Amino acid sequence: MNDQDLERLLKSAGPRERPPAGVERAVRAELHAEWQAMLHERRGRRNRRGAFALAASLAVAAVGAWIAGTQTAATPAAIGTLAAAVGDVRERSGWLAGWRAMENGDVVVAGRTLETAADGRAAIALAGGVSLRIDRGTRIAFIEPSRLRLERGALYLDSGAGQQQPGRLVVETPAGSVRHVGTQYELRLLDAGMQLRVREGRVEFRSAAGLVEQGHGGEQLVVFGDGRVERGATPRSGPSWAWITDATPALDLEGMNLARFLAWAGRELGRDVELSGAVTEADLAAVMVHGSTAGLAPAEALQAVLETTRFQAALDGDRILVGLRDSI
Amino acid sequence: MEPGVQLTMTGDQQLIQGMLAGDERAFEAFFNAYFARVYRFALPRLNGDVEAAKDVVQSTLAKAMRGLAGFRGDSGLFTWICRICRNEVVEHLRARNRGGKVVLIDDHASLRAAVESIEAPEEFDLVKSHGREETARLVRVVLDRLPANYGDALEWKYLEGDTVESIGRRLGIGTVAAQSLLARARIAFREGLEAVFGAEAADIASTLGA
Repeated sequence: MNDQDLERLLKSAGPRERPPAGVERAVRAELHAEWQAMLHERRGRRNRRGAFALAASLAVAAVGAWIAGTQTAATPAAIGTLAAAVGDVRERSGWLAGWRAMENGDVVVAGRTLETAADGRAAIALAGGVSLRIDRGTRIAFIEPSRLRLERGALYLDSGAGQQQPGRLVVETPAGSVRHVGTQYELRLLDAGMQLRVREGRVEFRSAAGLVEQGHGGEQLVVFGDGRVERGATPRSGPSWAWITDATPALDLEGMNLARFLAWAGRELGRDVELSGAVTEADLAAVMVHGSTAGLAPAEALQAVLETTRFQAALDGDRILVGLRDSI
Repeated sequence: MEPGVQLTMTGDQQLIQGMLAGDERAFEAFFNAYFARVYRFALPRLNGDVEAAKDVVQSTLAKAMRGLAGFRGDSGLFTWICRICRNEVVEHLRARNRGGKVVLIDDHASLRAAVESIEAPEEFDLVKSHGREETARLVRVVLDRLPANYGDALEWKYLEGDTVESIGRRLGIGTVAAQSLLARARIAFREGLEAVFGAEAADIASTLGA
């Protein structure tokens, strides 16, 4: 086989396919983390073997040392609770572990990976009142309480009303990391990069190259694989946000007044609550509601709850208009 | 044992030792040597589903990494990884309840043995019995199955027109070492083609219409 034959053959067969850059980046990051974990475990085993050897020569003292050594394996930190699950939601503790179906109330711990199937959506209640929603076909690795990695699909984060300080929670993606500053935002991985939609508040995005971009309420940032950022507008409510309410956890209404319930509905639906006519905040605060929103989407819960009162609500653009019955 | 294989085994063992010792360069070498090749192995077996291929490659390489300490070198490292990958593909399809396993020509038992060993010539004339696309794909499979960076080096030289000096730089080795590696790569490729196709490069190129 001479050089010309070889060149002719290789050219006619064509080049081998290169995996997509985004896939390569994601697999490299995940595999590196797995490798580090493996090395950590190996070192731990070696240390325990060392302690055991000591036990052979110093029997009594070493028994204690060995027991202590085996007890030092850290208990995984609890990160949150699965507050709602729709369809198939599962988790695993590592690449070698099998998947386990998750149910409402299950604790989410550091080191686990959670995945929703094509029919699955989930909500996770995190520390500090942060609510995380997970769309269909999504995979998230919970690295530690303040760090998670979106590996596929989309998530929505609501840091809670009144939260104005930079949040501790950092969401990593192949394109960079995102930190919220009192906000509601959606993060979706795309073939070409990542889409960040800010519903309210402010979000800080830091690219893999260290560049920092900020996104504000009503803004959308698309970050491409080459680091390019494209800005645009995004509505605060409407069909593109509807998936979030599929996995809205049931709200216990007992002991809650109507004003608080409406604030909850407003956050879920991405709308400001506006009072119409002579209705005041005090009027709403004076009405206590009962029961639970279990089985109802936020918009349905809004109508169901208001029907038991002298008020009514109407969805109007980015507003929930609340007035006396038959006045709006 | 032929020189290229000897070199690969030594390289594999060094790679494994480096990986187990926590050497970042070994991790990079491992990833660069196997990620793309395993991806190309998995993708057609998963009907071209990129997302599924990503998952399967990730779990394959993770399992391979975890098994490195027990790897005895009875087969080449890539052959061993491909066996893991094959199982991962089956597991993935089973987990997703997807029937219709994709069977490629290189999954044919006798051809698989040839591709894995790159030793024994096949009885049937693959070039004549399969179409142009499949033949071209098999040429690329042979490239992927070559030891070490042979496939990359051959593509860089004959497809991208790289100089030997440049190839040496890309591989982090000197020009003389790159020249030597290319010579071994050509031998290994020729033997691989003969094992899989029972034909020489010129004949296969003619079949492909070159």
